Amino acid sequence: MNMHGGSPTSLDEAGLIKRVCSGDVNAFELLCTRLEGPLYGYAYGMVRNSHEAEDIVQESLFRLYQAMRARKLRPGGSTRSFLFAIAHNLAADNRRRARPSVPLEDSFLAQHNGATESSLLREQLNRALADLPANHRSALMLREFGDLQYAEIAETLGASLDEVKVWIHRGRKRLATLLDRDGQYLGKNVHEL
Amino acid sequence: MNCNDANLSAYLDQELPAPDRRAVEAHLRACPDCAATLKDLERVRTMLLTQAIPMGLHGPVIDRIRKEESTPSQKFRTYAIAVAMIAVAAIAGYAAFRHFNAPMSGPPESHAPIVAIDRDNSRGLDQTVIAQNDTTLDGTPVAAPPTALPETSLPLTLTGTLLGGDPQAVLKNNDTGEQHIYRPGDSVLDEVILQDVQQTRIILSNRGDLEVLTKGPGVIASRPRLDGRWQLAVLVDDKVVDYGDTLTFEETGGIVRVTDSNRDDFGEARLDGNILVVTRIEGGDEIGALRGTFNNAFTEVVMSSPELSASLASDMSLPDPENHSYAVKLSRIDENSPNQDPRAILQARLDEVRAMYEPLRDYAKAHNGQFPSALSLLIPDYTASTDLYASRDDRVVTYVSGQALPQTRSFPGIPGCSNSPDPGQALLAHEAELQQLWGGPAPFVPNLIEVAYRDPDQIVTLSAQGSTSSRSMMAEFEALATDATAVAAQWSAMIASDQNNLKQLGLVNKMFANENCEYTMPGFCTVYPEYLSDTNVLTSPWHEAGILSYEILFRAMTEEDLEAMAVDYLAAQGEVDFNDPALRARAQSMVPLMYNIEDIPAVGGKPATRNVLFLDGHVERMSISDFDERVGPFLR
Ligand SMILES: [Zn+2]
Repeated sequence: MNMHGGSPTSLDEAGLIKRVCSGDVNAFELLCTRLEGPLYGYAYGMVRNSHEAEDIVQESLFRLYQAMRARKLRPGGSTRSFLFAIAHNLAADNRRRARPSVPLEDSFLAQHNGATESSLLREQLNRALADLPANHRSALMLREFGDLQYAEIAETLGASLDEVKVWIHRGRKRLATLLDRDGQYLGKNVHEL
Repeated sequence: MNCNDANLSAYLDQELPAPDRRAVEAHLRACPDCAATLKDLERVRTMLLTQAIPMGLHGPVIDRIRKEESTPSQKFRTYAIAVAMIAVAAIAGYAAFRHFNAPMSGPPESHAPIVAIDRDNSRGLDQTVIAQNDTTLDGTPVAAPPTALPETSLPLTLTGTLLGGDPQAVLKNNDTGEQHIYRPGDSVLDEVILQDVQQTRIILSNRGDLEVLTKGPGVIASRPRLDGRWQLAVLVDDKVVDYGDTLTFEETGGIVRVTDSNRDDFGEARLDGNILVVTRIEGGDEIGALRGTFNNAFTEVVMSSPELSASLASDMSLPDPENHSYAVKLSRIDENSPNQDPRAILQARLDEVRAMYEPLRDYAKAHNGQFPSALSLLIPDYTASTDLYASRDDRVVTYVSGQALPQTRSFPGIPGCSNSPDPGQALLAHEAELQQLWGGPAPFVPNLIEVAYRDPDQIVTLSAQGSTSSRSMMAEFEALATDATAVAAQWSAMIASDQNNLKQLGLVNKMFANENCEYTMPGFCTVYPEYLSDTNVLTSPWHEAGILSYEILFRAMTEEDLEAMAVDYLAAQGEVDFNDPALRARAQSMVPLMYNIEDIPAVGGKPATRNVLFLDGHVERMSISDFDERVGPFLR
């Protein structure tokens, strides 16, 4: 078996999106494998319940596909931005609809016993995230998991660019003080440096 | 220093216009506080992105899309695609890596991928099972396809995937047999590009069409390190017939050094996909290579070669390699579970029981040769506590009291032969006297201690004279009784052990004859303990300890007489040349000296046999009809 020369026609996200728009479900599946991880990370951070997060991921992906097939995506608009905006709205609906305060999910460890260490980290992280103001949390999560630009985040959250910049920065700094170097949650009463 | 960290996050996110960015960079160079704050912000990103995240959530979405969209052109196909639910931070790790390539920040220290398999989630795996049995007898699909990328028909086998920061796939070309490592974007065949590497499959772009290649049979998901201890076992027709050394693998820089339990070089190993190649080294020289394919979990590999088969067959007296398959198996030793090699366990147990003798012997020496009536009498002068003799969860210790040290020195000495008018008669009389004292034809010392071990079941005995023996071989054999091949192999090993007993007795006889006017030994009691110290050799492996398994045909006769007898026999058959210089050796090689009292039972459809020791020391196993023909004449 040789390594043939020539430039690989690797499918970047733009190439995949084009194919999905013309009805290629296989391309959409490939796109899903790239997006679902970060999307789940975002959704879980917002609702802190794995079943709800999975539902949000699946519903968002489905709606993305419908939008792409209907060519509803704005030309030049980012697919990611659209997808995370859907997820953001679903998560917000979810919060309004469900219990006022979603309990931290202790069953997470039991479900994911293959990844105990990172699950512990996740639990600590979610305690800390729960302490952030909702806007800060949303902005930061869209930035980190959605890999969205500040302008896209601003549009998703209906906020100004400056607000987004401040929210992300404050959210990060707050998390840095809430979690020590090993990811241990230090508690609510920690004051900002 | 005028500190305003408000721009640091935007800087990290590459959201600052160029002038602001340059200003922040200048400030960071001069201000350790802000540099530290930036590090903290980066740390938060790493923590967020390196969480375990499940994948494969899209399966039901694809199902739903296909259901709602199925058009005539879309063939309804089911594919066994293992969408194993994996919680992979690989994607997140990749995202983090991308971020951390921003100016001024090195690669993140903690972007090492966390790969974990979500065994709990049945979505992917259960569907796989259904999809593999994808149609009922009348051909109707029983389950909706979990995903529907078509399986490729390209001549490729996926032998492994490695996920992480640098995803790779090991692909074998079925036509050429060649195997290479590819990364996404690599060209695999003409107009075939590797698109994506996932846990159990890869996505290929075949002339622009996306296709999936799922794991081939016996492939691996990712490769763990080989470091650690491995148990070597010998397989005949895929059954373990013996255990060998423990091997230690040490992996450095892709090369695995293999050493045996004695820390001697065993060889060097390298991995080719999931094929392990071990180059054997002996005395600094390469003496051949073994190859084998790992199991999926990389915990077991079976290796074979023609040289190995030949050497195993001759070393271990195992059945003919032409009609059987020979191999060795390496199994990773789980440090948390006990060593699986019953032979190593037995050796440790024999040592344990042997250590029980010294306090008892010391006590007996101080008490007119009498062993204690109870083990507690050994405390405190001979041993600090009776822990040494205690029964435990894994063993039951039985002490036989009321015995004495074998007083062999008080037995009459072997009569001298040089002055005796009839040394043969004197030796036979001496043996008869000793047999009276021993109470039988063999100098079996009664057992002082019997230890019954559990798991594996073995019985170890300690004689009043200090020798240990075990009854594990027969027990092992009985445990194998349902497996014909293993039985045959084990039986062969037992026969070899029996032949070894006779060879040792041949040496005992030679030593005795050398010092006693060339007379053969008159019996087993006379040679104990000067010539025969270990009475275990008097018992065949299929007999219980304390049973005499061998008969001496010619007692207390000179070798000269026996040779003459053989020559007479040859002459009577008219085939002797008295000038032949090899005549004496030929005569020695045909005089039977000892043999099995009982036939070796028939096993596996093979006829019963006997082992025979000849005067020259060689041992032959022969059928009963051969025995009658070759030994029979000397019995008369
Ligand atoms: Zn500063």
